Amino acid sequence: MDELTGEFVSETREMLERIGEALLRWEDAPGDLARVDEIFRFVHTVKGSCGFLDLPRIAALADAAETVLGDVRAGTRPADRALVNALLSIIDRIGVLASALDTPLANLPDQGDDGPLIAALVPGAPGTPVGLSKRRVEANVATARTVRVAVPLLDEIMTQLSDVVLMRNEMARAAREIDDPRLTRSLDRLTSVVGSLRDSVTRTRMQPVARVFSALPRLVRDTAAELGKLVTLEITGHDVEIDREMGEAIRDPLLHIVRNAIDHGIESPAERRAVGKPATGVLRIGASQAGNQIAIEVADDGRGIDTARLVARAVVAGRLDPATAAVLDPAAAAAMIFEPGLSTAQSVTEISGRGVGMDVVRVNVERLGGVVQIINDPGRGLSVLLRAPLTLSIVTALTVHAGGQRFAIPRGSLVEIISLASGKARLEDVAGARLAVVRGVVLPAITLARALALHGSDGGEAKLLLIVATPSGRRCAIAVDRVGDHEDLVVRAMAPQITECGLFAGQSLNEDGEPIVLLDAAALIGLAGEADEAPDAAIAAIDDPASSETIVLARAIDGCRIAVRAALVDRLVEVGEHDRLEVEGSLFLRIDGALLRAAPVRGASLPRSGPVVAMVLTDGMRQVVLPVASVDDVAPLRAIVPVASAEVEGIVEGHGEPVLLLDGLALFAHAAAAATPVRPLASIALPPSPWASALLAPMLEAAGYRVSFDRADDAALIIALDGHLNDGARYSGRAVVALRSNGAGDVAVEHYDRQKLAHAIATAREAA
Amino acid sequence: MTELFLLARVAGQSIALHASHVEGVVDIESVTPVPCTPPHVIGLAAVRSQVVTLIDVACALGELPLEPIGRAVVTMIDGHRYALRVDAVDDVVLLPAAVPIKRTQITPGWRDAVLGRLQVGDAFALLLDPARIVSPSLFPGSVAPVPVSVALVRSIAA
Repeated sequence: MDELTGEFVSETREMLERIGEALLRWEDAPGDLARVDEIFRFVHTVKGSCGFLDLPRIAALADAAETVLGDVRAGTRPADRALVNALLSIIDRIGVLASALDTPLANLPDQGDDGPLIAALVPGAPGTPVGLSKRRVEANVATARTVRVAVPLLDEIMTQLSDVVLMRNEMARAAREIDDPRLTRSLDRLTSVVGSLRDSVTRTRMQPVARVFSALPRLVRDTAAELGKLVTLEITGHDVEIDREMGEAIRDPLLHIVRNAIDHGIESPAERRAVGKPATGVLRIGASQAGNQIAIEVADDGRGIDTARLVARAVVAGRLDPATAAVLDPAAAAAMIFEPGLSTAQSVTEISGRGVGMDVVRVNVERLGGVVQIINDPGRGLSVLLRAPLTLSIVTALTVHAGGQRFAIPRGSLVEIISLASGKARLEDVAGARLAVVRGVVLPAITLARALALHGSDGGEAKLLLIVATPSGRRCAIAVDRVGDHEDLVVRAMAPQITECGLFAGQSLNEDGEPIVLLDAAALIGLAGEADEAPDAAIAAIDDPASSETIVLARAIDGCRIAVRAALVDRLVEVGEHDRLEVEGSLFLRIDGALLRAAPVRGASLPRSGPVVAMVLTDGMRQVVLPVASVDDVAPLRAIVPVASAEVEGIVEGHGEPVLLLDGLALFAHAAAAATPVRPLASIALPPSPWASALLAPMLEAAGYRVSFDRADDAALIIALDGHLNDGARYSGRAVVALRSNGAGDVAVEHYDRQKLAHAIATAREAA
Repeated sequence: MTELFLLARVAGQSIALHASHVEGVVDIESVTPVPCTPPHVIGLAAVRSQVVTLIDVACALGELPLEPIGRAVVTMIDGHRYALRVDAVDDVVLLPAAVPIKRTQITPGWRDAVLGRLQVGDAFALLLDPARIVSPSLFPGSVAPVPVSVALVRSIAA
């Protein structure tokens, strides 16, 4: 709603409040002409304002009332009860309509009703109900518990509050040194009060989002009419509150999105009927609040985005290479709408096709710490979702130093800080682009000092890597010299001469009272990804482990340095001494309770003692377990020198040393086709007894065996009594757990618990 | 009809600013540089707990740059506070309105910023427009007056 209309509404409300008394008095004493003057002035002012505000309903009502009141004042018309009632009804109606301009009412009186109200002014017309105005005036007075406050005053309060926050911080630092408990307690109370004060002041800056939406109904009506489209607008959630500044900031992006929806989204009535849709399109705008974010959705039931054409245009414009274009999924394809300069409009219309498009919208929304998302339903419609933080003003930020200068990065953008000295992350230069490798994942990177062309130096190369992300998930790594403290900053807009470069999100004063500049994470990520043609698609490709050329370096049991492609590694598990089984040349490792067959690595056996790490590899369908002595690191996969070997793919470089890259195909050839691991057979050569089936068998199964009571020539393990098999034949060369009888007629089991059974199994195997 | 003007000196030339544009005069003691800004933007400074954008008036007018720290005139333009670094601030005087002056008589770098000429006793002072100082129009080495993104966003609403 524009300022003039807003003022009109406030003024009208105030006047209605003031003449409330006069109205009541006049109702009681229609002959009292002094009251009439006041009321006449009200309708006269309203009529005058309506003149240049284009409010025809209110103008008509005010005009009729003014004429009659003029007559009453002049004495040419007596003010009887009927006339008073009629006039009061009209004034009520004016009040209701004026209010509705500001806060849309659920049940707006119908325009058709205005006629009868005006007709009631004619002498001799049937009267209207008595006493309406009293109730209405009271209602007006009761709800209007608000005051008007000039915005500069609110800004002043915010500035003073920011000073209070700075003072409090200064006191907190001094108090830490003094260490007086009474001082500390008072300071804690002060901190809590300042926090509440900050919340309250922030709330004074909140306004219902309906204010932001106020221009939309008119815009929709005018745009639809201009383009010959039929559109119904539904708005919900107009009570959701949003910071005034944030509201102003999203007003333009919102207008643009709505214009787009009507221009490109919703089809003409003929087109709609042709595809079986109702001729009138629906545009739904809804605001909702989730946590400390406001979400605004603009959804239309139009034709959606033609992703094929969009992608084709992107390829033609050189924004996307054909290879990537071919494998782009629908969501990524629709997201191409955010690329600058692409317009799928057949003809660039006056309204939305100036090439200024969703890219500007996204940049502006992300600059505020928000996100824009697209949900495309081709042929059925498009939904644009805007999410933004509820307030702007106070931001927690981390101070960083680069090139001898100091900057602040909003904590909300910061994902992680990694020391480059720790070895967990590394900076690389690949084909001219700066990259960071962080735990095997490749990210675009920039060195802040270099990106900002800073010449000062804190001494030495960048030492820390900051991983920053936008709310929509785009990431990059920023190398800085060092970091300082987290601080609460009151961030304000910068002069246009500084915002021009697009890298800064605002300026503030830090705890020392010195100016500090807030970096715009989204802009830095854009800077980092500039080497790529389509940054999002490229980063998505890089983040996908399957295509990131990374290898895992390990040391085989025989001490040899080996590597495996990281994409194949599912997990790494340490295998204890008791979790290893070697049965007839087959290796088994117990991992997560299951016995898994292990692939032999270079023909080596499992060590009895000493560390073994199981690398569990998977190709999505099958699983293979690779026992190694240790896993060392991840490294990027560079050139492979092929080697003629079934087991080894080639020689690669790992930390400056040659390493054997194992052949994945060969490994999986060893893998069991079935998902379930092979369990060796244990044969219980005992007469069936409750004990054997209820206790012994489960114990064996828990140890990873299949159990059978039949004589089993291929059993890996035999449980026998006193060295005899069931049929009395003796055994030799097999793994046996011998149970001894103890006492006449009793079978005493020496070992009940799993540990001892496992030990017995191992012992028996060794003896075999 | 006389009006109030602030008299100062830039690159040896007497200049004046209309009092209505001036919020105050300060001595800038420390500057926080900001990278990636046009040459006439020295950086940010703190004035009475507020951040101001420090502008080198000499540089903006195409003259040799001044020292970053020193005297500056504080002004508010379009809701943003600036401090305009000058050689010296001389006086605040009542003077009759400025007389227009031919553009060709003005050094190229100064042309867009000069509003007219004031008579100060026996001498003259050039009346400058602060808004034009901070946003010099296109001449070699300077930046376009309105940042591109703001213009684009505004054009959506137009």
